[in-house]
Amino acid sequence: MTRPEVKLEIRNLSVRFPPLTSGGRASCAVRGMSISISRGEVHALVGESGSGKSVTARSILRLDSADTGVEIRGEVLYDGSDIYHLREDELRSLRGDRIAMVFQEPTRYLNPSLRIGEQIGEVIEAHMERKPAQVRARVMTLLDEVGLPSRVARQYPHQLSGGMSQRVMIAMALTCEPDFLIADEPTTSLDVTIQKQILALLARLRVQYGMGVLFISHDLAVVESIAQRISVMYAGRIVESGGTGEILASPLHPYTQALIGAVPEAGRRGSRLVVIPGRPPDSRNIPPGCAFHPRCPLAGEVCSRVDPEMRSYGGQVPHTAACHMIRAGATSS
Amino acid sequence: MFFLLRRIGRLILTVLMVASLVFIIVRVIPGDPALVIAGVDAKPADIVAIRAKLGTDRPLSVQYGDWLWHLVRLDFGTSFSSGESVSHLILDRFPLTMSLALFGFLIAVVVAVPLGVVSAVRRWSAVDYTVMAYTQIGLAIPAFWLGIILLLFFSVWLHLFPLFGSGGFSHLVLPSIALGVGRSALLIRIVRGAMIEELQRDYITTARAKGLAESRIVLRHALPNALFPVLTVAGIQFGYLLGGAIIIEQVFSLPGIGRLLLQAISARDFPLIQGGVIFVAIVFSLVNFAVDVLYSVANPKVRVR
Repeated sequence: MTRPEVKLEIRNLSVRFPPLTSGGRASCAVRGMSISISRGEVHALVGESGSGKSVTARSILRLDSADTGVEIRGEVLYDGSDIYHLREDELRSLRGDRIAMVFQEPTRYLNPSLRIGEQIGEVIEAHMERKPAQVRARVMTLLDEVGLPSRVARQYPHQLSGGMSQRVMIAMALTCEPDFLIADEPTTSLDVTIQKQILALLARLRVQYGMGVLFISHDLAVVESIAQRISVMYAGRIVESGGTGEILASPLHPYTQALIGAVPEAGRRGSRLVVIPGRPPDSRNIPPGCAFHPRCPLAGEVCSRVDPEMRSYGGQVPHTAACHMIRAGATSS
Repeated sequence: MFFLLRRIGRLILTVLMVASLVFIIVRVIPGDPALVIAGVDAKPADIVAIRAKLGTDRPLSVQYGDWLWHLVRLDFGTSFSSGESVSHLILDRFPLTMSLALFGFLIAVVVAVPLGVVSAVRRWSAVDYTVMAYTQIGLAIPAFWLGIILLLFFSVWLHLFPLFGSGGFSHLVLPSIALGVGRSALLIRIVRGAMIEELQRDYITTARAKGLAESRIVLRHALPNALFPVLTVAGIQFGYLLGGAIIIEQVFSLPGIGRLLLQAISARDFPLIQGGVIFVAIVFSLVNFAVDVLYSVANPKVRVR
């Protein structure tokens, strides 16, 4: 089971949603993004809301059914083979087994009328041959693993707090000891103390199970504590990627710089909150050239015409960024 | 507990309102029971005597009070025309009407749930359009007309079912179908709508992400949640079925409450009309009461521990 070399790679992923009205524009939620996650590492995907992070997460396992009209292009390589070429049943046996997911609002992502024990147990039944008694035993082990008492198995979601529900979601995700966990803003809907507990839990389980985690968040402070790598997403594309330390210490892309500048610092009461001027672009109407140029303090003439390409700027973990205005020869230390 | 008391209070209020309404209606429609009983050649003195015997010569307020007073003690009085106890007459006929309504309901549910689910899962497909066409037709066709057509087809031409009368299950098949089709059409639409809504919920995304089979997602995750709103509507539908059964009995010449009531109305048999209507109202209220209780038992969110 331990195959540390297994990778989850997303290559040139594009996701388009059809227009809501007949005269409307299609929404390009993701526009050719690439990211790779190795087992045992936490790779954070960071960006404002509407940048396409959640759509990316849902698209990896193709969770939006085809009748929504969604168009997904690109490749998602798991262990070297493209999971977009899998048949529906092959994909299903991958979901929840090798690649599991945890969502933002656990209370809405749990079925209100099924007991927790069944909601965890059915993952085991879907992927492994187990007798009912073994399923029950495994459910208890999993609940214990995420720090929940065994009585939770008999309870319904509405009887649990948000933090407990998220622990249940994590237990469900861990059921088959997946290679990869996609966690879509797993702590956003929780209050701060619970956030810390869930993060600590995820960090511990990542080590214990050797999982690779795609950790999606808009919160750099949260990301800093858990991720080894950060990729910054803007308007459906990765604009900068690199090791957590390098990204936070010497960000290259003006958007990353603005994001870091906007993190409120504890202990600096009374100082103004820094905000990024303007709003993220509407995915139905993305500016030409560099999508960030209307909000960018450094934008020059070329930025509104030419879409910048990803370039490499050295670094221990490859540090890449897509911006015309990074001065030549800039490398991260 | 409070919930139970409140529902019982509402039930009593409903029955009282129906009791008053039916009392007024039978006296507003033209016709004097004494005239019906006495016949065409009756002498005026006889008619007066009959009125005195029936009690219809008393002031309306006295009759009304009398009716309510007996009703409170669950005494529906005696029939004008047969002299038998009204409750006896009703209970004698009721099983047939109730079985008609029950079978009709069963047919409606058994047809509606699978078709509604398939329609929702395969939305905008040929299957969905076919099912929707069925609901359109089913809602438009009156039960009594469908009853006549079914009789013509299956009894007159094909001799598969008895033409009229009661006696066994075979007599109930056609009228139950005639009753059930319209209700199934309505229930299909409700099941379909509720399923479409549930299938878009976030917990369905979780179920997909867990790698569950589509059948399990639909049947074990979406369907139970979709059935909660259906349950409430189904209760009301059952009430309509009781009413529909009363009419369909005429088409199939079945001796149920409907026949009894119709005879009572033509004879101006006030106690029997009142008793029959009240009885149906009570059954209808009890069914809805039962549905409410069932709903709170079935739905873990409503259930208080």
